[in-house]
Amino acid sequence: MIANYLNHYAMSILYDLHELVGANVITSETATQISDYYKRKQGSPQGEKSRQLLLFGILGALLVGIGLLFIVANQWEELPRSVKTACAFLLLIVPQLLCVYALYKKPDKIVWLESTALILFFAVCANISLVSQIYHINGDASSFIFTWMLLTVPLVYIMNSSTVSIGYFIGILSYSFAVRFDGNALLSDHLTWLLFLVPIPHYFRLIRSASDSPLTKLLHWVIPGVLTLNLGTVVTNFGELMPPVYFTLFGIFYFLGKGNYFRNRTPEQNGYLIIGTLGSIITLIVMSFKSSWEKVSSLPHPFETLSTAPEFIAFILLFALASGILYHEIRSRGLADLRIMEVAWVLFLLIFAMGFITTASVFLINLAVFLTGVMMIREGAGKNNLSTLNSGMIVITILLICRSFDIDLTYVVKGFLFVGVGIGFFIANWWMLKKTK
Amino acid sequence: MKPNKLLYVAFAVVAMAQLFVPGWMISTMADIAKTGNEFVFKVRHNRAGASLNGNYVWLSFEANKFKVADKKAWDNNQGVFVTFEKDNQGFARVQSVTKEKPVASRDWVKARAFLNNKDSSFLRLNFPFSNYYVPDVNTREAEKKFNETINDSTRTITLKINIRENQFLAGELMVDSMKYSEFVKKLEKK
Repeated sequence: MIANYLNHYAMSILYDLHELVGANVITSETATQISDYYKRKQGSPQGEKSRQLLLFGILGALLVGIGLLFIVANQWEELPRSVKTACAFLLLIVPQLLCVYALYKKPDKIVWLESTALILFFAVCANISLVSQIYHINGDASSFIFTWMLLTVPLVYIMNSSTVSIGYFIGILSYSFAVRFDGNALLSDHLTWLLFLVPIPHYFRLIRSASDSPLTKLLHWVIPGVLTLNLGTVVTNFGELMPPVYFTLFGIFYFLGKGNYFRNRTPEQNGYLIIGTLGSIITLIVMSFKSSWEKVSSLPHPFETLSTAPEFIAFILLFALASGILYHEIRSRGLADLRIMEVAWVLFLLIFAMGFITTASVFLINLAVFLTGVMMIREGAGKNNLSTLNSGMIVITILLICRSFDIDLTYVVKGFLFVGVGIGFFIANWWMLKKTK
Repeated sequence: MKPNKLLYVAFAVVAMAQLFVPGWMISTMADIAKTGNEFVFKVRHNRAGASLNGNYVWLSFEANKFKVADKKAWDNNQGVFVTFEKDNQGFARVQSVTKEKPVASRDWVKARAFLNNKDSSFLRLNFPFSNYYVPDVNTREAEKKFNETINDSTRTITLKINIRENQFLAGELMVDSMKYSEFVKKLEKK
């Protein structure tokens, strides 16, 4: 619907161009430039058609894939073992032949390459599951996922398949978690991080050559999402020290999201910026509770044990990376041009370090959440952006709700605070609407 | 534009690997059936002995308890090597539980050992073949009957396993002298 609206909007501008050229308001050159701009932005009708084909092709492949997995769960005990085995292999060979057909006959059709690769991705899973069931082969989840991923990841490059790369990222994430609970895994816990690197060259190629593809845009969400979730696997004995690790990772995402590549892209395409910003705010809100600091200040953290802890090693690596990016940004733009959000992770680290010796950190974090909310309101008001303004209001409201749990205030005071924020919402929105009219 | 010939070669290699892995799984199983030693495990009868979860039944065996001399030497949820032997009646029993890979025998699997809450001188062992794939039990009534039957102490429920150095092949689950698949059909007809 939005696309239709935009199309209609662009069409009406293109229609007005003739009138503007006729009235000598703009030159015909400018009119051509404007018209070219909107054509590029909209994409050609063929481009739109191929996008839809891609979407439905992938959707169809997903359904076929899920269907294959359902066959795995189906009742077919009546068949002899040899027939069942033949069926299991047929289930794999047919998608393989489809891939060969796509590679040979339709090498330029992304829809063909993506959908056949995705079917084969699921077929490998179905085949291994079926053979395991037919022969009662019991294995652990981690080696099953590892085998599945290893057998399918080459399709990312051979078939140039982004959907398989997305499936691979999710598969390796679940492998990583399975390894944590399984002592017999092939790789040690932390080596699984290296597996995430396998599709990265494909991702870079997409950024260079297909940055407007919906799958590239989806990967901008999948990669930061998967890395954030996988960070949970480094937690061993010092879970209380994870907030700075997460905050530094979110700081890196924020830098990437604010980089040149994402400059002219909408927030929906910028998973790094949204995950970086939201993740930072959520970490701040979690740390605004006094209870989050109890283990930090009370438990001993001897350096000999800490220095070899995965949490600490993860922190050092992320800190080095974030510092490198910050240094590069300062050199290229100067210290004065940095936004507060770009150095928020440094401030958080300082406040967290203070938390080992003083309880003032809790107050400072609360202040930081409040200031973040205020900054967002200011930014929203300045740019006439209602959603940023309301996001800022929401941050302050969440802070208020959290504090109403652990600060001993009378119901009347709490009531007045909520009424105050509620009225703030009304006034801010009314003022913004009035300003834009 | 025709893709590079190397892509076809690469795809052929990947496709062969995709076919090889399940083929290798099957040939390994055939090899274990030939060269592994066969053990008959008796399924324990109690409510916790077997539970149906989707298409898998979690089996607890008579042989999954082992008395240890020094209980302090063991941790909870520890990876161990379990070697089996046959008792007088020909059923499987645990010969030894070690932390190192056995060298004298080939009849061993890796398992997880848990400390027994009631009596800490016993280890409770979870074998890798405890989770057994069974055909669908279609109706709720049949599932109820299945649970009743598998926990009925008047019946002998056994599972044949061929074992060779941590590799194993599970055979048919037998209820008395009837194959489990036939037993399910009988249940559904009733």
